[in-house]
Amino acid sequence: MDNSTSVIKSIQWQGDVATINLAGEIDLHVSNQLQQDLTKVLASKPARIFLNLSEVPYMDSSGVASLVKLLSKTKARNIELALQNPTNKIRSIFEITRLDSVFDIVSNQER
Amino acid sequence: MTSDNMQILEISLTSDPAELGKVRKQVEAFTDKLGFSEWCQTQIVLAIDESLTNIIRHAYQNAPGKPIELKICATDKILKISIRDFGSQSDPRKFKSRDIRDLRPGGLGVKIMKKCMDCVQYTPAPEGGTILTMCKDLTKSEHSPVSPHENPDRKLHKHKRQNSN
Repeated sequence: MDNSTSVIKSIQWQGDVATINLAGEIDLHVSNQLQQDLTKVLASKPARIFLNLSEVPYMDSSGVASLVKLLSKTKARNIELALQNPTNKIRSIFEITRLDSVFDIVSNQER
Repeated sequence: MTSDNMQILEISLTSDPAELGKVRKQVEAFTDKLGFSEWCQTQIVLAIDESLTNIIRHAYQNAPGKPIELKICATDKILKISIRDFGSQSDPRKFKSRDIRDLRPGGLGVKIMKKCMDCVQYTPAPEGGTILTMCKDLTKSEHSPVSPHENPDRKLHKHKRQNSN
């Protein structure tokens, strides 16, 4: 991973379930790297991915686009993907783009 | 703030994605100073960020170091944003939002800009490049700056600032 622009803080595995913890603002500056880093995680063949967004204060459309690409890839490989604990600001961006109905958005309690 | 008391923020930047975060902070500080609600601030920052991203990607095709000029004018009634680039001109008629079931990225930025602002207009500049104008009607209840009753601290902050001018 290119640490200069990587927003992946850590990846925790519980069996074949991966929790990817993101931290920092996600915009055009980091979204390409994020997309590449997320694709690498798929190579480990998780059955389910939780993308923890609790420490992401801002995301623009390039960040959303990276997650849309990830969703396409996970659907094609029958991997479950859930966005976990987005802040209200991040949730509103998904609502504006009407992608809140496309992604599975969960809180900690729903895991 | 009245119509006569226009507040202006001008930023010159280059087409480097690393500049986006700095611009967001400057715009946040400007709108915070004016006492805008958090939601109104989020919409303005997001619309500007998406505009700049589009310019970097499309007008300048990711070439760094190209000039972009941003100007925000705010009165108590309206906020107007003008963003000037000197890159290749795009045909606004091609800017279409796609069906959400079509799971491909792209077209999201324009959708966000239109949702966040009351008007979005692209004008080809005579000398080349494009002038993007966006406006937000601050008299609409959902757009209005936070009322003093909601947050007295912000009113105090704003009042102090006006006195210091």
